[in-house]
Amino acid sequence: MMKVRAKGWFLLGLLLTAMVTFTAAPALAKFPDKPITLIVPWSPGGSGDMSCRILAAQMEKVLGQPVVVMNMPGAGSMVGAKALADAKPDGYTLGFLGISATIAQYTSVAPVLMDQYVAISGVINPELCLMVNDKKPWQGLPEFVAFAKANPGQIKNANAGAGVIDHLYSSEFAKVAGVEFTQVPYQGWGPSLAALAGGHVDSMFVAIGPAKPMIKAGKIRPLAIASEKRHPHYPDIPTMKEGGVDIVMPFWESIVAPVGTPAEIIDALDEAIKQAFSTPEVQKKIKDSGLDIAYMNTAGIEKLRSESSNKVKAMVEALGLTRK
Amino acid sequence: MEAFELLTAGLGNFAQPLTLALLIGGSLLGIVFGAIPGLTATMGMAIFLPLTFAMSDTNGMIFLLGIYVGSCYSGSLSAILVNIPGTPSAIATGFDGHAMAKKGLAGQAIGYATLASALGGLFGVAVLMFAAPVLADVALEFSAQEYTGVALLGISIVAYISFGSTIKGLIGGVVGLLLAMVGQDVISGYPRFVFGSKDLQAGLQMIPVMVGFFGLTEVFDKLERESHIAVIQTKIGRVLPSLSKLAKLSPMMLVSSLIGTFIGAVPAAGGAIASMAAYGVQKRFSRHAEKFGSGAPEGVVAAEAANNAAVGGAFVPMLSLGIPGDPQTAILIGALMINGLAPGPMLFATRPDMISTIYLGNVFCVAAFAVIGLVGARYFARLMHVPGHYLLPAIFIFCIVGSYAIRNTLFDVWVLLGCGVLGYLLQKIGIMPAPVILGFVLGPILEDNFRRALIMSGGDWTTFVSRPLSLALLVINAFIILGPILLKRLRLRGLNQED
Repeated sequence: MMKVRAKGWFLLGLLLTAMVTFTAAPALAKFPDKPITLIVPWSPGGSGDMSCRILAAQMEKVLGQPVVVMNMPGAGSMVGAKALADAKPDGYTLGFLGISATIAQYTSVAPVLMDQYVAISGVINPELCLMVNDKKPWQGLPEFVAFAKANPGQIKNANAGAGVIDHLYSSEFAKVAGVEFTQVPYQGWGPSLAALAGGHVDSMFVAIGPAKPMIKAGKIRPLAIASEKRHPHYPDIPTMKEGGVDIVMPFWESIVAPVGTPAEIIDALDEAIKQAFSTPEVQKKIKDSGLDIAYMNTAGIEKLRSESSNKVKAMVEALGLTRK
Repeated sequence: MEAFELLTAGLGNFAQPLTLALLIGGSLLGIVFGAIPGLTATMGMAIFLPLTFAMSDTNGMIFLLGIYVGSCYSGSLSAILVNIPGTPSAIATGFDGHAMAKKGLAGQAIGYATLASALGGLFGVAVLMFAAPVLADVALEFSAQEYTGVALLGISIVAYISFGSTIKGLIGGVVGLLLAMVGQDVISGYPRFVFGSKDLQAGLQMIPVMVGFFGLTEVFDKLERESHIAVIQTKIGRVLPSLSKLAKLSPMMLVSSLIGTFIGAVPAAGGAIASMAAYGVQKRFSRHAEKFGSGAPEGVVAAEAANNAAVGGAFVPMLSLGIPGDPQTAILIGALMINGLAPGPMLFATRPDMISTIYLGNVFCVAAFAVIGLVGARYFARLMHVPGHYLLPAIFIFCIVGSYAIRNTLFDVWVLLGCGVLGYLLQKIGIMPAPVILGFVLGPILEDNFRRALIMSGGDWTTFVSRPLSLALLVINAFIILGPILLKRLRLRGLNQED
């Protein structure tokens, strides 16, 4: 009798456990059951890499599986994008592709198209900012534009290389403001910021994060940010719109998966990224490091992505950088 | 008083057992990453960066410093022992270092390399401590015109490091320039030698090309000769050079350290150019130039003092202005910023203990690798006695793993194999790997900056002589190329007059 009763309790227990498990996570009972790889198409040490390493460390705590950052730099993020597009769409290989990959669709000789991968979450940087060498007299955007209009080609604007985001945006700025720059290309923002700090060039359109130390050192100063509204972290920097140039320069990244990844896995990952972002630990790191990245959900980033794609295409064509 | 505080405020940190353990652990890791061809300090630091999130900011910095400083030193070990530089900055070390090892003097070569590295490292830190703000301002004055001058300086060295025929050395340099041209041009965005491949569009990567030309070429060469070359079985004599020899070399170390610190402080120049420039200058002005390349301790010392001094130099723009001088300092800046610390003048005021920790950390890391190097020299040197049929496959595997790991792509492994075969064939006709790599490294720096300078000047060529710094560099270039010839003339005339 006792034996039968014990068996009954055991079965009931088993049933309850099964019910709890299955109702809690029906389709994802097992995801993730092994480490996830996050392909970063940038070299170690840059702001993109740094953002990924901070997020990956926290996602690991949320998901219970390691999230391994793998750097695959090259060709305006096309090397990493190709590896991602070729990966199995099972949610275990993710990528960190943003506006640079969107540009490279049009400038690369062997592009990975944006419809080969889908966005999970947006990792949004503050919009680009116009910086000038601190010894330059211009105190605001109107003065800068007035000088540029009076002296066409006199302003040497550093960019991070032909076809890189700030090259496109600064050329667009010149068009909208009706000015003419002499574009001086460098290999990335590091060397171009050094040139700006040294006064060898006059201006630059760059993210605030990497420029911060030099702003603090009094070598360069921001004139205007290319956003709709002033950035909450930098309320002192006026927008370009306020200064009379109606332009925005969104600078976004996104965590993506190969096309064909099941929707419930995308949702689960989006949720994990959202949670990772919202922890006080990550928020503190984002603020302290000056990365200033913000989370955006799947629907939002999909919309931003397709908007950007059209804009970028026109800019690439205007500069004659189209390859395909 | 303030300056004193900057030196001592972090001293207390180093009394903590955990801090010391991190320093030694970081240095050991750095030595491993630096010594294995293809594994780089940048990679090591990136991998271990998330670990430092859990440490105090000073401890995290010390740990990363250990990896950085350790790897800058240990690139010399593999250059000496197997003629494969572990890092680009150890290329010049291998010229004489490996020649010494082949003579059975591996232990001594490591001894020289370790001492020169330590002295160079300390010199760099000393300059950093006492002259950072001044030097940073000079480094900022460097624009495209000056970079062109520095790159020219490096290119003119091709002629001196091509042991044997100068013409073949120059041909090698051109091969390097051609390889460097592959990929998308930074200035115009135009793809060159790309053949519709995104991998080629990204250009050939430094590590696979270097490891191919040095590592695989060496493996193929040894394979061919293995059958009729006896493994050198000499006793490893004293590792430490005598004091008199050291005294004789010390002026040279000082000059190399100076060159190294200065080139290190110029953003994006780095240890590879520093050590090759120092080696070239020393060889050019040595009275025994013919000994260079055949196992002269002078060559090892010249290269190693310079590339380790470049570390202190790289910290100059990083700490004073937040400008990374090389990829490693870029990661250190990231590590500081994650802790809410922006490098720059403010950091000196708000966190003197952090500045002091970086200064002292550098000094202690140098001490750590010096001890590890000198104690370990005998053991490392035994690698020379490992028969080729064990050693060569191991090297081959490391070359492949390292090339793959740099970007996690198989394409880089093909580049490695291609460069290995090309390097082997070129060596057969007397074209050595060093000038090829020098061309490969310096070509893009010269081309981009030359074009950039002309863009900035609106096409005006006088920009190269109208800027004082650029003019000074061109004069130095002329002096290095013509100086020894003039010196020889003067000496000859002096001799004639004595007669």
